[in-house]
Order: sequence, then C-alpha cells, then structure tokens
Amino acid sequence: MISRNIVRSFLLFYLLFPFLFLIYSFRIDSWPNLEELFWAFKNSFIQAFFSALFSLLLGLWVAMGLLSFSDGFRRRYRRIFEIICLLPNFLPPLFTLLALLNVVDPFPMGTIGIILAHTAINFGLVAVLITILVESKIGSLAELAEVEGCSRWQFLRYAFLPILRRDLLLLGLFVFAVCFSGFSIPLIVGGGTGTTIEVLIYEKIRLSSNWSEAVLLASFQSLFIFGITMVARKDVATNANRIVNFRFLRMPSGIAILVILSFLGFYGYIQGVIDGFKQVSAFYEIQSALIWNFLGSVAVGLSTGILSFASLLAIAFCSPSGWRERIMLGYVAPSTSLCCFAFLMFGMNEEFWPFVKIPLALNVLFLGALYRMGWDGILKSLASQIEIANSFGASSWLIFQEVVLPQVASRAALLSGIAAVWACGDYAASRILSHRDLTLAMTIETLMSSYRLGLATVLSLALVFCGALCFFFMTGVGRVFSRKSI
Amino acid sequence: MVNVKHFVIFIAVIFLSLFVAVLNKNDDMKLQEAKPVLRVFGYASFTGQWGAGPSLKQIFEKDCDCQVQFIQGSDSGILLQRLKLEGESLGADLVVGLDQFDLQKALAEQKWRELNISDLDVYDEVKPALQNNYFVPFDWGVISFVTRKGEFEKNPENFDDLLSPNLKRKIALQDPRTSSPGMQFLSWVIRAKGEEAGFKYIKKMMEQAHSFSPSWSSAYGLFSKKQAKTALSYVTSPVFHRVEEKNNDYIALEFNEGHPVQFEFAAIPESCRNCELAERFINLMLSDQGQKLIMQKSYMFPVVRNVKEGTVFADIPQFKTLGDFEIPSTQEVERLLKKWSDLRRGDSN
Amino acid sequence: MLVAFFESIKYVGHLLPISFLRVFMGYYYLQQALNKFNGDFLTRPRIADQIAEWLPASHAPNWYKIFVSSQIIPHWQTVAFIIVGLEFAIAVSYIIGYVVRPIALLAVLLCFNMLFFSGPMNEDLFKTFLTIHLIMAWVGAGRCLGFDYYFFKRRRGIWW
Repeated sequence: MISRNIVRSFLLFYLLFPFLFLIYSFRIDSWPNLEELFWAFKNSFIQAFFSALFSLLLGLWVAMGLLSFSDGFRRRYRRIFEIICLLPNFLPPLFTLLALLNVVDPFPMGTIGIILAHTAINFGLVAVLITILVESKIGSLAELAEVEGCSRWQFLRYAFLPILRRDLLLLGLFVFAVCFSGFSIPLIVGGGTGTTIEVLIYEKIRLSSNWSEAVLLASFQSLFIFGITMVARKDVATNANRIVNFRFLRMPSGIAILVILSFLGFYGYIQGVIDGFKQVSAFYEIQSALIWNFLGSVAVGLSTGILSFASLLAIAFCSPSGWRERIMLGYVAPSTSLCCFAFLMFGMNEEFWPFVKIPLALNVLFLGALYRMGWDGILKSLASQIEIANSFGASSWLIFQEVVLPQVASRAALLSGIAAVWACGDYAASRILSHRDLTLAMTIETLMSSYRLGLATVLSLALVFCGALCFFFMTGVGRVFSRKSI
Repeated sequence: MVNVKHFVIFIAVIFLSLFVAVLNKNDDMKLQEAKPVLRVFGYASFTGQWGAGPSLKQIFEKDCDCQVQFIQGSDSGILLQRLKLEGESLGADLVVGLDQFDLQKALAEQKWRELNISDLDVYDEVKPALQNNYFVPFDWGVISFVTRKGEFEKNPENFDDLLSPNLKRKIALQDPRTSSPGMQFLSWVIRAKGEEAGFKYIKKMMEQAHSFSPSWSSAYGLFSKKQAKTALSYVTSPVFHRVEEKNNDYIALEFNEGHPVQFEFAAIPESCRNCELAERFINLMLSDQGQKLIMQKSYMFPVVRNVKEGTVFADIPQFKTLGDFEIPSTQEVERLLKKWSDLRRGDSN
Repeated sequence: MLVAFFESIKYVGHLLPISFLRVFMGYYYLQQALNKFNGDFLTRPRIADQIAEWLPASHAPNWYKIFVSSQIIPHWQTVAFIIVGLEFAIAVSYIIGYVVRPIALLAVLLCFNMLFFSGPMNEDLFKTFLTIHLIMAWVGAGRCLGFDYYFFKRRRGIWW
C-alpha cells in the first residue's frame, strides 16, 4: 500500500511539475484580456469540436474496413493499413498539409480548412484505436448477434454504441484535446480564425514576455479540458483478446476510402520525395551528422516510448485509485512551449541532459492523451479481477505482476509506441530543450528554414523509418512483458 | 544458439558503449585541453549544417586557439526569452540573429556590451542600422514578394495590385505574431500607407491571403509547392533557386512604394565570459571572407561594401527601399499586433 | 537472478577461491582499460610503436610477423579500439561473472598477442595471465558468485 501511495504521489508530482514550477517561477500579476481569450477560446472550441466529430466518424468507417482484415491470412496485411493510418502522425504537419492541399483544390481556408486538416491527420489513429476497442470489447457479442440473426443496424444501435459510448467519447475527447491546443495547422489554414489559445500563449511568451498571462492561459486551457472530461460518464468495461469472426462488422468500403485518401494524399508527398532526390547529393557532406541525427531520433523516440510505457504501467500499478484516475483522464499538460520552458529552467541543459529532458517533457505532454486513448478502459476492465485478488490477500505488487501486467502490457506497448512515433516527429519541444539539431525532425525543420523543402521531404522518409522502428520496438517490448513468466 | 546470443550481445554492448564513450570523450578532451570556448547563441538557419555558422567556426578556430560552440534557439523571439530565463548559466558570449523588432526588447531585458563599429565601410542602405552602439548588423535583406515567371500576365507593381481578384487566396503570408517577415509586412504596409489606410488595406488583404503561416519556411514551402502564386520573402530568394536548383523561373516583385529592409544583428551580452573572442568573431563576420560566407549560405546581402561585387548577388536589381530605419518600441509593436489581431477577429466574425 | 547469484556459494562453493581471483583479474583489467581510455592510447599510435619495437625480436612465427606488419600496424586505431574494448569486456565479465568462459578464451587470444607485442619484461606476466585465463575457461569461473550460475542452472551447456 505504501509503495502504491509513493508511486501515486510521484506520478502526480511529475505531471503537475510544469504547472507548479511555472507558477513558482513567475509571479501571477496580470490577467489576460478576456475579450481576446474568449475569441481564441471560441476558435479553439469550434475547430476542435468538429475535428473530433469528423475524425470519429471517418475513423469509425475506416475501422470497419480494418476489421475486414481481422482473421486468417488477411490479418497480416492489416499492419500495412495500420501504418498507413498512422503515417500522418509521423510527419511534420506541413507535409501532411501539403499532401492535403494537393488533393483538395481549392482548399477551403478558415474553420472548415482547419477541421479538414485535423480530421485528415487524426482519423487514421482513431481508426486503429477503434479497431482495437471493438476487438477487445464487443468481438464475441458481434459473433453472437450475427448467429442470432440481428441486423447490422440493430447491432450498431443496441450493442455497439451503448457499449462503446464512453470509449468513443474518450477517443473524441482525445482528438478534441489535441486539436484544441493546435498551433501550426490553425495558423496556416485558419484564415481569420487561426488564433487558438496555444497561439495566444506563444504570442505572450515571444512578443510580450508576459509569462504570468501565458501560465494563466495554459492553466485555463488545461482546466477546460479537465472540466469537460468530468462529463464523461463512468461505465463498466470488459476486455478480451480472443480473435473473433468480424464478418458482421466488416465494411470493405472503409479500406477503400483509406486507400483512396492515402493514395491521393501521398501522391503529392511521393512527388515531393522524387523532386527532393534530385538534390540528394547535398547530403553527402553532412552524412555523419545525419547518422547522428538518426540515432538521436531513435534515442528520443525510444526513451519517450519506454518512459511512456513505464508511466502507463505505473498508472496501472496504482489502479484503481478513484479521484486520481479522474485527474489522469482530464489531465492536459500546459502548452508545449510552457512545458518545455519549465524543464529548461530546471537544472542543467548541457551534455546529455537534452536526451533526458526531451523525453521527460514529451512524456508529460503525451501522457494525458495516451490515457484517454483507451488506457482508462482497459484498467477499468481489470477492476473486478484486482478486487478478487485483493480479497484473497494478494499484495499489490503480486497483483500487478501476475494479474495486471500480463493483460495490459501489450496495450501499454502499443500506446507507448504511438508516443515514440510522436516523439520522433517532434521538433518544437526539442528545439527549446536542446542546443543543436539532435534529431531528424529538427534537421528537417532547419532544412525547411533554409529554402530546402525538397531535401527535407527526402529526409522525412528516414523519419518515417525511424518512427516505424521505434513503434515496432515498443510493440516487441509489449510482447515480452505480456508473457506471464518474467 | 541461445547461449551464443548472450555472448554476442554482451560483446556488442561493451563495444557499442565504448564507441559512444570514445565519441563523447573526443568532445570532452577538447574541452579539457583548456582552450577557451566561445559560445555563440543563434537561430537554426545560421548555426545549422547549411548555415554560415559552421564555416565561420572552422575559419575562426584555425587562428583563435579556442573552440566555438553553437547554442541553437528556434527564432529570435525565443532566443531572447532563453537568454533572459537561463541568464548567465547559458553562458552565451555572442548572440546572433536579432532583427530590428527585437532590439528594443533586447535592450530592455538584457545588458549588452558596447561595440566599436563606427569605422565599418558599409552600403548606404545599412548606415541607418549602425545608429546604436550595442548591435551590429551582419547581413540584410530587402523584403519583397517572390513569384514564378508566368504566374501573372502583368506583374503586380504596388500594394493595390495585390488586391486583384485573380490573386484571391493566392498570396502566402506570415503571421506577424509568430514570424519576423510577417511583422515586416505589417510594418511595411503601415509605413507605406499610414496607419489607418494601412489597416484598411490589410483588412482587404485578408481575403487575398492564402494563409498566414507561423513561419517564413511554412509560407515559402506553400509557395514552392505551387499552392500560392506569390509569397512574402526576400529579394535574394530567387538567387537560391538560380544557384542551387539551376532554376531561373523565380523573380522578386518590385513595388513602387519602396521595400522594407530587414537587418540581422549580432551583439555581445554583458555577461559574456570570452568577450574578446566574441568581438573577434564579430570581426570575422564583418570581414570580407565572413561576409561572403554569410551571403552565400544565408542568401542575404552583405553589409560590408564591395563584397557582393563579382558575385551573383551583384546582378540582383536594386529595389527602392524605404529609406528611414526605425527601431520600434516594444509597446509600439504590441499595439500594432493587437490592432492586427482585432482586425482579424472582426474579419472572422 | 539475484538469488541465484548468491545461491551459487551454497552449491558451487568449491569455486569460491577462484571466483575471488576472477574478480581481482576483472579489477586489474578494468584499471588497464581505464588507463588506456583516459590516456592517449586511442588517439596516438602507441600500440603501433610498441609492435614495431618488439615484434621483430619476439618468437612469433614469420607469417604472424608479416600479418601484423601489413595489417595491424597500418590500422593501429582500430586495433587500439579492439584492445581497449576487449579489456573492458574481460573486466565487466570477470567482475559480474557473466559469459566468463567465452570471454576467458578471448582473453587468452589477447594475451597471446600481447606476449608478442610487449617485449621480454612483460613476457612472464602475460604467460601467467594466459594460464589463469585458461583455468577460468576450464572451470567455468562465472558459476560461483556470478550470473553464469543462473544460466548454467537453467540451460546447462559449455558456455557457462
């Protein structure tokens, strides 16, 4: 019990560290202009709400398509589709945006544009997560319903939606939170509505050096997300890993839409890569730097992945913990720049420290999102088992080792794999916390800021490879941990 | 076989660790050799592999018996914030890459060493930027719209031409709150048209803008991918395409109103540890050799006279510039940006 | 694993004296490796100079001398790196008692080479070391007070 309380307190402190440190460092002596805040809030809310809604709808459709590849030899091909789904998360936003602008011409700038871009970036991830949810929660039920002669519509209406409602809501909330604090996309395609709270925070730091207002804005943003998560209703969850027959839920059109969207989207990207290859000789003189950047990306990706894995398992170790779970569910780190500045101001920044601080900061930034991506659901599904083990007098460590870990490790690994992919693509946090280009993503950004978009596009291929490497490494870690005897 | 794996992994781990340690040791050893280290704080496109920084470092280290270390910040605004927050612990001896909109803030937030730059033989356009004793300009660029040949039947010649219907949503601009060229555009319009007419014009431009990107690189990326017909950039941008891509299709548009000039400054913080080396580094940046390097790597004009002569930069047509140079106060910048935000808010409602 | 580490004293206690010798040898090699790493062994051609000085006078066969002069001396940096790496590997392996048998064989190989590179004043030392390493490999010195016991118990085989 004591060890659990220590881990709980440590986790809580770690997650609240940026807020506490910033509030401690900067005296709150001024308040943001309410009119300005309201405007940014309205923009953030509208675009985030609709982005979440459309990502969910499209994600659901594509998930049905992915379910068509859930058994037999076809399951092997699903990995490929899953990677295609996750691809927009690998790349810097500008690449995804350029691919999108190639497809949608003329592109509707403004709120519709932001929603479109956010949906294009997030629907794949949502689809992958919904597929996992469906498989683990209502697989057997779908089989039963089919045998009993239930129609697809009836199943969706009376089983699918009621059972998965909370999970879908949380997934929606995850996309909402990501889009709510969006930075580049709203600015580029936002037309007049590009100002989000995140932009306002950046503006306060960069232009007016008004840290107290920036901290207040970030706290407001986090509190808002926290508030709306409280609305998410408690529900009973189940978890099963049996491979079932999903004929009933299959929708090959979902795969068709994924293939068409990816083809259209990546056509432009591949064209960019081909153009970039014409200048690829420029890489010759910096090849050793690129190798180090690649290793740097792997190091940042893997350490963030491992840290996320450890954090998720720590949360599982503490589970069930009532109000702390509610905190986790609603937790949103302060804006990227503020969070990174908090870590920057704390302790050393030289030598290997960036490699420690970047994963730590990224983990704080990602953990809330990972939790909402389905970690909450899987922990809830184990509550009854933990209760039984508890009543038999098993220690919390034994329960964790024998009951929780084998069942949650593979999901934790999947989520931390996603965190690793995000970490590989990050340049904003790394730029603040490091003194030079440590990762591929940073080099890509530097290339773009010196006219070399073509070379940056070519290099982004290496980034995709690096992301995939980290992702598969993490899923491998999950497989090792999910074996019962360690 | 499983047992062999243990052995192989063990050996591999030991050798890999040694390899990493040796690589780190090389850096450490250099530091241990008690050579003074000059820490230059700059933005990515100066300190990065393609920037002028690494070449300057190489030249400088040949004679200085010292080491040059770059500390990279994302842009000049964030650069200043880091300098303020990390203070002396950052140990920056030299700061490179501030522009005229940062100067007031830099002066207010940090103490700087005075520099003796009175005897520099600079181009006439640069002379106004030498009016202070703390910040020395090391390159400059003329802000202008860049386009591809054939995008227009008749190239725009003034601001009002940009309002033509066939340019609707075709101009890639930068957000002045997050990007320095974006701020240049805002100030350009206001200086050319006056504040009231300027903001009226900007309101109309909102309809014309393809996007207000958070950075120059995003806006220029959109333009190079043909999403926009023209982008706010520098007069020197076409030279990059000519030199590196052998592409002569890019041109800068000359406007009757005159063009603003962006200067990039270097300065030495009062808290510098190797102040003399920092001064020598500035001298190298302002030498003919340094200026040539900066010009070729950053695609910006050199400040020192006669450096660009005989190079491709000399062929760039001389655009009429807005003669006066002003260092706007922080309050003034904030006021303009607030007005700009209000305007966009009105635009969005 | 940690339990097995100490459990070994109970079941393979007769190897305890040799395990102390093993840890001492590990410590010796660690010092050697650290001295080389912190000094200029990796950056200056010390090993090449040493070979050039002593090899002609050594009892090494001719083909070996030719091989060393043509391959090792020109690539002194790689050789220096391998020597330091091997010394570290021997040190770590002997101290924690992990994969001691194959590492001891590598140590034998290293000693053989050093015997020819190091001149007559070190000849006796390396001959003694050679014997010690051979004994280590023979008895499987990692099985007592070492992690090899854990694997030996589960997998058997000649590697532990």
